[in-house]
Amino acid sequence: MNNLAVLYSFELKKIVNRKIVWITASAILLICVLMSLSGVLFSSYTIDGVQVSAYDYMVKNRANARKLSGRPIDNTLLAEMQADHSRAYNEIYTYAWNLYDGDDEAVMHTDAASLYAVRQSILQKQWETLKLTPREITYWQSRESSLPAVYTYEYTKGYQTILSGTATLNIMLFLLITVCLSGVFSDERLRKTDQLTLCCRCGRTPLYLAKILAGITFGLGAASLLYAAAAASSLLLYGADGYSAVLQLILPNSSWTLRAGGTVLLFFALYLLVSVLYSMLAMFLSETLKSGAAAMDLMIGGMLLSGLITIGPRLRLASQIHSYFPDHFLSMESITDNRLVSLFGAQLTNWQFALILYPAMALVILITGSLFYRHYQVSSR
Amino acid sequence: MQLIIDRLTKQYLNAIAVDRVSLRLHKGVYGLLGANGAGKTTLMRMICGILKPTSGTVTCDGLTVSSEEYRAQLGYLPQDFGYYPDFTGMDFLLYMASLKGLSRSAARRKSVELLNTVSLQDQAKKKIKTYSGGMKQRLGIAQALLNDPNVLILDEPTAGLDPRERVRFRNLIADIGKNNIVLLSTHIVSDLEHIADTILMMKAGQLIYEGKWDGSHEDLEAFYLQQTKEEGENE
Repeated sequence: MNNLAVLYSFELKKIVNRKIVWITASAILLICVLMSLSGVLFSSYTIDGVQVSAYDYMVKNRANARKLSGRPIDNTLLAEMQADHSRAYNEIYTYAWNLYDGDDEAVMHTDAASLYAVRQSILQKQWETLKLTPREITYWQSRESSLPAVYTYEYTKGYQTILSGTATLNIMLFLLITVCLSGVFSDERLRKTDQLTLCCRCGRTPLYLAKILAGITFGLGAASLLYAAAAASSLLLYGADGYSAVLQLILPNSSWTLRAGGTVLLFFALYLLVSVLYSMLAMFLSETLKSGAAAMDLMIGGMLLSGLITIGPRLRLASQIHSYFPDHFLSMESITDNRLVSLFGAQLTNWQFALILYPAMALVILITGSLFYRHYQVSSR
Repeated sequence: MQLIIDRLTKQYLNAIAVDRVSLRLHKGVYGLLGANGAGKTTLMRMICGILKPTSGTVTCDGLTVSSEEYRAQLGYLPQDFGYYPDFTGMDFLLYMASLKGLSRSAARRKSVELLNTVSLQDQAKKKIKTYSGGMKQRLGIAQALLNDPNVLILDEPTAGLDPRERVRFRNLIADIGKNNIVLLSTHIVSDLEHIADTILMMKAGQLIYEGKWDGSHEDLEAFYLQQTKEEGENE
């Protein structure tokens, strides 16, 4: 269609040919890899008066955890943990310790029924804080009933590290896309090439689409690369054990019925969608503001502002809308956000709604941007 | 073939850049003369459809300036155009050819042909950022000709060309003007003397002279100065 494929390849070339793209991408990629490794490679622990490198500690801990993998977290396992003094049950202890909010005494005297009851009481409090409606509570109670009554322990550190790094990964992606795509349209004006392209037969709609597709491709490529780098370094370091473990082993106060590996894949899908949204927004601002610097400033300013704003759950609607801002959504917090969205009679969880919301927003930006582009005129410089 | 410019006006907040210009252009070379700020570039941009007029219309054989079909038969060399520094000369022409709707094979064939025409065949694979000003200008001329335009708009096309290149360029334009409409603006009056069939003169946004130029006038420059003086300008 109107040389779209050829134009697309040239537009992609224009984006990736810039030195700033390679410099920024290399720096951010390095940060993403180090983010997963830094906790283990550059620190140490003092255990019983002996200094142990974080890596050695992790290796030993992982070996112990693997011995426990596949065992139900029941009275037997808890009793073994309580009787043990060799740190062989460290992962089980940590799991219970988190549920009891650091109450060591309670952990050392708990049984399975109490442990799972504590989790339920945490959920109840969370639902109250989030001001869930009775309909929403009923929804989540039905979800809870589909979860196993007793969880089977799996070592999930690899997936946990990926998920906990998602928020940072999102900021890195945002910066990379902002730096690299803010000039897609404005550079044409800056270089005065707009007067050449706009008077060509395919200089309006086909060129606009080619630029957008190239920008989206770059965004998707960047997202895939960063996520793959972070995921690969985490899984290589901690292992890929626990793909099918219940998500509640990583986040006990979540009611999502997904598995650990599935949640990582879901976040990858969301990360890709967010990359499309960021790409569209950067290019839209580039077109409307006619200045790469202004587009970049506005993007980064918006991100900082969103990060600084905290809206408590008392203002439910405002707080819920804010929770869909990608800097908030792509974080562990969203896994425990049980506020639903009613859409055409269906009750959607936040991630289900995000899968609709982000593409819809990207589409709106695409159409609005095309209106600006089609009416753009080359006036005096 | 007929390019009709009907009462074309461009008004900014406190100035009229082009004031009710009407023209009917047929095959041939039209030379547009005027001082800086006379409205030549604004007029050309409106003819190319990249600047919306305040009022008036531009049509070519019934096609409006905003249509894709109109743009398909247009070639434009802006006065001060940009380029993509990391593209080679060949890349740039292939890119412009795809923008003009040429197929891959036609784009390559035409690009090679035009690189030869503007004597850039040996620099085709070099990045444009290594080109001299004159080479960039020749590349700009080549891109304007990629789609064999029926309407060729050239804004100061000889700027940066050395005398030998200027002569080659004049011959090329005279040749194209035999079957197409060429509108050419320049400060260098001698460029027009040899190739323009019709001279157009603009001043303060208005068309102050339109007439055939057959060389019978002894000096176009003197004629131009006389015309503008008659309008009250002190040189």
